[in-house]
Amino acid sequence: MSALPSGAGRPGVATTTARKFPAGAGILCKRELVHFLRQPARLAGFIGSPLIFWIVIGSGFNRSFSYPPDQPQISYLEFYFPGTIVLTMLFTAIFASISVIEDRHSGFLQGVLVAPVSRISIATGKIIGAATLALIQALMLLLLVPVLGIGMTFQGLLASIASLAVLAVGLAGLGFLIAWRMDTTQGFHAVMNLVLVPLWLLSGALFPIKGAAAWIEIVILLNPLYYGMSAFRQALYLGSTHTPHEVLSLPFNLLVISLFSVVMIFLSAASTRTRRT
Amino acid sequence: MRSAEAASTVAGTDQGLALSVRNLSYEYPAAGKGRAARVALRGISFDVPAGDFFCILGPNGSGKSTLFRTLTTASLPAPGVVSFFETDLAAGRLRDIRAWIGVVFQNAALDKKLTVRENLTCHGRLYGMPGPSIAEKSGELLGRLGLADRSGDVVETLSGGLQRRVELAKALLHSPRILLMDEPTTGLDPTARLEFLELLRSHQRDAGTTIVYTTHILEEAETCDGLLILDEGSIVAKGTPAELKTGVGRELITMRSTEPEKLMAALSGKFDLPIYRIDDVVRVECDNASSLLPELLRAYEGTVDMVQLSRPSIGDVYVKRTGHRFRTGTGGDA
Repeated sequence: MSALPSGAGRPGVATTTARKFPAGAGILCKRELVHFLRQPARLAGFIGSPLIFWIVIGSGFNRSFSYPPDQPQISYLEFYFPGTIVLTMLFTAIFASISVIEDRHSGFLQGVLVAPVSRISIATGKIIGAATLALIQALMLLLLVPVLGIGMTFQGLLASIASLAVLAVGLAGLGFLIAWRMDTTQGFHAVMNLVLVPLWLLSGALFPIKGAAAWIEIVILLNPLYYGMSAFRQALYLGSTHTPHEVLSLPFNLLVISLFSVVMIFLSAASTRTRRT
Repeated sequence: MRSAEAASTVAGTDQGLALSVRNLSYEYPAAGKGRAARVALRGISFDVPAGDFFCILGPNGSGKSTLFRTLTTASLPAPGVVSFFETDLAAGRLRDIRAWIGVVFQNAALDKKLTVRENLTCHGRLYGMPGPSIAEKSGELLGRLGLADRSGDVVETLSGGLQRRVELAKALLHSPRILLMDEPTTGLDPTARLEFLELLRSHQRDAGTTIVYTTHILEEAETCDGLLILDEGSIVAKGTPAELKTGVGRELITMRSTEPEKLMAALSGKFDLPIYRIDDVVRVECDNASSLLPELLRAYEGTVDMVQLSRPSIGDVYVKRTGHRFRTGTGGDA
């Protein structure tokens, strides 16, 4: 008898080793989308609250806000608009990827972990799925651009989508990384309030980095979300007459958030090896 | 054992050992300062021939869930060696081995928000199956398991018994060579349990798939091909049910008394038979229970509350080998 019985002649076995990465990650990604579409309330929640924030805070500060005096003035509603989109993405991407906690509780994850798929496929599938949801919601909000009177060009649209997409992957990865080690979603809410909301507050979404206190300026520069925020703010006006006052260039910002996203995916994949149950 | 000719009639049927476990130990790290580490498995070894319906029996806390988790490849054996079809789990072919195994967990592993068919598709994709063969195989399995008309239903709308069948369909979808099941009948009513076991049996007969099955239900262990009894992390018995039962004598007399020590003393002084006490009952193994019983009753002057004659069961094997009753209970298991 041969030393190793081969799987030949058994359907399913012979094909298993041939296709690994794309199919496994793809189906986990698709699953996120199906889940989301079956819970329309989630859509309303994650777009609705940032929109309310935008209208209330935007209108409230509209008169008292002023850009640094040497800059062309824009309304606070307009200034705060990119921040609203990023906040929506933050909520959606992170809430979608923390559903890995529910997957663990419901038992679904145990089956995935003993399947012949790599850990990086599992992490990537979940993260890309969550990021896709976040991007779809961001794009829905982009429909408000004409209302604001922003003269968005086609290249501006492409650059906006690119910067939002990369940022969405990074945020979803961050959510996955935090959620993987957690046993309850209650614990995650604490992290949400202590880490993620401050992350957004200090991303340049609410106020420009110039004109803030010096220590805040340093914290902002350490915040990966700031680079996403800055990239998107510039992309939004790319090719138009208005140029937002940003410290770092669009390509540099894109590079930083791309690195951030790649690192998040690898850290997520690595973390799936440390916990096996 | 099947002969080579019989085995070769089923295309692709495996021969030799489906599973081999050597000196497997497992220790849970101490839960906190000052607490001792908990040993769940103490160097166990056993083999499962291909095509067997193999049962791992043990009460809650016996270590069978830990053993199961190691077998599913969810935790790697350290120390110890686990091989599937003569391939060591640590030999770097984890992905191949995972594809050979089908797993039914004790707790549901289905996505309850997806339909039956979507769950199967998801599973098939994770196991690298191409779309057409997923569709074909799901259709066939759903028909065989009586789920054909429920394939479009969202899983959470199905009854517990039907959900278990979907679990089974999922585990069989990629045509595993060995099916591992951890107390798969947990939460099923007796009828659904019997139906589920019957489905399993018929699959094992038709496809020649090796089945390794953990349970804490004694009756489920009566009809398997091979049996392993675990207690406190060690193997207390292994063999076929028939072999194991011959070690308990042909018949058993069980006597309950309020003073079991006295009963025990009275009987063991007069009869040269295996006599032992478990809690408040005294058991006598014998070959001629009906003629022996009056003698036993005459030999003891106190009151005997209850007398029972029986053929030995797997439960009796357990009692004899461990010296304590088989504790059944619900809830968590390690």
